[in-house]
Amino acid sequence: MDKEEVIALLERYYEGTATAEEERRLRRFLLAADVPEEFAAEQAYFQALAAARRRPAPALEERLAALVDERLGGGEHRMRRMPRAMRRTLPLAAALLAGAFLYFFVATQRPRDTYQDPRLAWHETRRVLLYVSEKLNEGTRTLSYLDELSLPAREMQKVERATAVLDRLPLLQFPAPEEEKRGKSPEKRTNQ
Amino acid sequence: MNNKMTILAMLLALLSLQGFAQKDPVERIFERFSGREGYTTVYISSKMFSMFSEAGIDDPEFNALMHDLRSIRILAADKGGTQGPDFLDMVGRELPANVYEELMTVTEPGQKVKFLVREEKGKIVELLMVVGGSDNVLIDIRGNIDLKKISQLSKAIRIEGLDELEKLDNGKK
Repeated sequence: MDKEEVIALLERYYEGTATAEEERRLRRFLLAADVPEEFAAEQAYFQALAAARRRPAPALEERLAALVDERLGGGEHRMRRMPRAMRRTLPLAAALLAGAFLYFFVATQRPRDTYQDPRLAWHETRRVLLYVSEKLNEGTRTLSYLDELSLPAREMQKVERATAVLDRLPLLQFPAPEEEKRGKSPEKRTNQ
Repeated sequence: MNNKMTILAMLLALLSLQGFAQKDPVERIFERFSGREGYTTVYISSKMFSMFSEAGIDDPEFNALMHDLRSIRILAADKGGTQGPDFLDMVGRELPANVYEELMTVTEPGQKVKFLVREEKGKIVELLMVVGGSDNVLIDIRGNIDLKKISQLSKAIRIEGLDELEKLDNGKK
């Protein structure tokens, strides 16, 4: 690799635009034995990086898994003991829980109050309720007028109801002595 | 298998959520016009109602009426604004007739006012007043609604007004 190329690669490396292949070439060059004197600083830096890069200890993964198992008291065994029904319903429960949370966030969202000042809100509320009240009364006024029109008819109904009761009253009275002798019922008398 | 179950469960949960989270038709109408040019929306909550008495507003009768209400919402088309849909038509089209019962319709020259109520366990929990024609207004009142109390409100104001007039007349004499 010539000097210009090394400088260009170093620039790209420090800018963070060098590709993995370019980095590898640069590392190979700087970690070699015959590096020109002018790249001594870079060589020291790359050598330090190479020394710092440590490989994980052999069988680390297995050892970690064993440690976890030990701490959990045989985690895998415990997982196997979980009932099948529970394993099946668990995702459903989780989904329902997530749904419930979403529901509370979405459905219970209420609009914000238009007024922050209670006095302004009071005036608007009063104005609106009066408007509603007025319109409501306009409708019921017509109804009460119709009610007034039908008043004689309703009064007549009352009279009829009262006379119907009165008609039944003679049944409770004692029959007149002569009529009793003749065997006439008071009902027949009233009908005559 | 387990992954399939999870996906299925999630889908089911989302579907059920969609049903749950669906807002009622009146709320949807308000949301549709909220913030739209040419329309004014107002929302006053029960929290604000409870602040009326705290704010030193001395009207016990009115404040007692407010105590039973949960919210008031107003949607009004600005006069002279863009010609939008008629709220009367919209309500008739979008509100389920088995939920919102028509209380009465007041027809005046150039204006039609319709009152609709929604009942729950025999109590009116929502009163909807829709004005169509020269004005285009939708007023939604929720809570434990006593129509008699609301109706008496304007009567009481009228009496108060007459009293004031009488006082003025007496003052002149």
